[in-house]
Amino acid sequence: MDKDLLIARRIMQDVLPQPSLVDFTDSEAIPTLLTFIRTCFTLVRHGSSGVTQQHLLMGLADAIGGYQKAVLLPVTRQVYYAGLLSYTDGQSMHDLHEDIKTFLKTTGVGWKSGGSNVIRPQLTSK
Amino acid sequence: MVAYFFDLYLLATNTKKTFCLVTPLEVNSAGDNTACDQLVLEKGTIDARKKREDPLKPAGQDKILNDPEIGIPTHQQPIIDEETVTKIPLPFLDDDDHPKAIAIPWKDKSVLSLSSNDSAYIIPKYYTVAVKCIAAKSNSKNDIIRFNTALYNWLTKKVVLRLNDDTWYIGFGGVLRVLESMKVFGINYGDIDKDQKRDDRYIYKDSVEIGKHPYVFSEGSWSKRGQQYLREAVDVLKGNASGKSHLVLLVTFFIMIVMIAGVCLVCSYWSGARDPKRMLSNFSKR
Repeated sequence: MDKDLLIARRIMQDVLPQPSLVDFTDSEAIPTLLTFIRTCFTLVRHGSSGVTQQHLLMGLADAIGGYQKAVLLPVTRQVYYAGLLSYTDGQSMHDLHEDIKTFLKTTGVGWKSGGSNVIRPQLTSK
Repeated sequence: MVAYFFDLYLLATNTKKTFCLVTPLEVNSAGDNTACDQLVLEKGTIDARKKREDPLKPAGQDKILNDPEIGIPTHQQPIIDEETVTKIPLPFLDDDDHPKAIAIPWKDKSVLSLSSNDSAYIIPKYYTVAVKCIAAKSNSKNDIIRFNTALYNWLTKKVVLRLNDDTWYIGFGGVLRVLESMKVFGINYGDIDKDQKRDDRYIYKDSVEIGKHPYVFSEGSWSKRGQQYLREAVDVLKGNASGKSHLVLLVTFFIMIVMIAGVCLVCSYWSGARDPKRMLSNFSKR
C-alpha cells in the first residue's frame, strides 16, 4: 500500500518539466504551465479509478506541489515584479498551490523552498 | 543515461533564458493637471540655499552685517532660507520586515492591503501619476530627478529587499519596471543614501551579477552537493579545466566497461570449451 504510493510518486517525478528548459520570460509560460498541470490532473482522474486513482493523484499532487514551491512560485513572483505577468495568472498559480496543499492536508513545510535564484530580472539600461 | 547527458548539454548551452529583461514604463512626460487631482499634495518647505551659488551663506547675510546703523535688515526682500513648495508624499509600508499594507497618497482609498487585488501594480500607477503631476507643475527636469532620487531611496531600502521573500506581495507588481524607468528619466546618484541595509543588485551594475554558472541554480534552491555535481558535469561538457575530476571518473568508467567485456569474453570462451556440444562442433569444423 505504502509502496504503491511511493511508486506513484516516483512515476510522477518524470512529469515535471526541467526548469532551465522553460523560457519563463515569455508571458505565455506561466499560463501554459498552469494548463499543463491541470491537464495532468484531468488525465489521471479520468484514466484510473479506485485506490489506484487515489495513489496516483496523491503522487501527482506531491510532485507538483514541491515543484511549485521550489521553482514555479519564485519564478512567478519575480516575473510579476518585473511587470511581465498579469495579476490573474499569478493569482491562479498561487491558488492552485493552495488547492494542492488542501488536498494533501499539509502546510507545505517539508517541501524545499526555492529562494529567488531560479530567475533574476535584468535591468537593461544604465 | 543519454537523455540525462542531453539535458546537461542543453543546460550548458542555454544561458540567456534565466534572465528576463525589464522594460521601462512608457510615461508620457507631458504635464497633466488632472493627474495632480488624484494625489494628496502637501505644502512644505525646502532649503532654498541649495539653489544658490554659495550654499553655506544665508541669503542677504552680507548686507545685514555690513549695515552699521541698525541691526534690523533694511532691504526690501525678506531673508529666504526656506522656500514654500508643493510636495508629493512618498508611499510607505506599515512594517519593514513583514509588510502587510502600503499607504499611497491617493485622494480616495489611500491605505491598501499588499495581499489584495486592489493593490496590483499600484507603484507603477503612482509613479506615472506623480511624474505627470510634476511635469504639469514645473518645467525643470531637476524636479523629476529629485523625486526619482527620493523614490529610489525608498524603493531600494524597503521594497527591493522584500522581493526575495517567500510571500507574494501583490502590491509590489511592476516595481522593477519603475526602477528601470527611473534610470531612463535620471537619478541624482550623489544624493543616494549610502546605507548598509539596501539591495543594490538591481541598479548600480550594468548587468546583474551572476554566478559562475547562472543556469545551474545558485545557493538556496538546490542542495549544494547536487549543485557541485552538476557544475562538474557542465564543466566537462564545456571543456573547462576544472572538470578534470569528472573526466577521470569517465575514463575509469570506460576502463571498467572494457574489463567487464573482457571477462565476459573469457568466461564465454571457457564455458564454450567445457560445453561438450560446442567442443564437438568445433572439432567437426576442423
